[in-house]
Amino acid sequence: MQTAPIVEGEGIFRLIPQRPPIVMVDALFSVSESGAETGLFISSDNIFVSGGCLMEPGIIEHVAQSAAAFAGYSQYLSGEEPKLGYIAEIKKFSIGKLPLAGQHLRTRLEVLGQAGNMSLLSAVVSAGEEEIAGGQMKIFIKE
Amino acid sequence: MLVENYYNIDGVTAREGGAVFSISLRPDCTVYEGHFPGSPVCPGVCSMQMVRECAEKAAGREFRIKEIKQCRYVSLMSPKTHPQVTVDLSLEPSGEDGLVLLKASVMKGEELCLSLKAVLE
Repeated sequence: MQTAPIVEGEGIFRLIPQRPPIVMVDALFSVSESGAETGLFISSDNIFVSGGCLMEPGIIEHVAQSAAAFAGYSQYLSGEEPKLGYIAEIKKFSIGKLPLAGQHLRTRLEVLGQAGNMSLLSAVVSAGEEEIAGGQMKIFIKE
Repeated sequence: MLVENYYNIDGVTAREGGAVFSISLRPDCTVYEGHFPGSPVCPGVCSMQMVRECAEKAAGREFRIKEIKQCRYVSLMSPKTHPQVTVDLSLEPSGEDGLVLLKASVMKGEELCLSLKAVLE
């Protein structure tokens, strides 16, 4: 089912601190307390595309920036600038298939836990209708 | 190299089951224009990709990353404050058909930046 994003295109710059050439999320479809749904159109000139495929680090950075957009959305609503965030840990992250340039990624994020500036999230990444990757990530947000 | 101009390899020492790479991170890599503007910090995934490329060099073949069992980012890397790092990696058969277990660490001096355990195919 296609829903219109809440935030898309360069509007995402209000939510994340990353800028070109390393912007790996371009849509926020839904947000709740417990998670979010995000997206990315994989353009052929994406920094992580090689041989027509989005390589593994690109998929993982998409998940990390999806988490940044999720955190940034509530900061944005309270009138703050997006904060810098770093990946603290990637765990049990499987990549079944590399998506192709020209495809849209769609990612479901779920918050598993939060302590101080650290969030533990799980993510499932789909390309088209197919789940291609998923796993856990810990993100550290710098105050 | 997937991310152009991310690093240079200054030296490689082979050892039993693996290799140690001496690396210079390049501050002129365009990725720092966006990560982050005015505050160059190595994107964790780019450093992971660098380790993967070192593993491919050591093994003389290409790998696909099938699973990241664990990748811990212990301290930040930046080409501005600490461009010299070492990548210490080992490769071993992972039991299943043709799969390879990669274990690696990236250090700046005595300090651990990143430790990685991944299944490659």
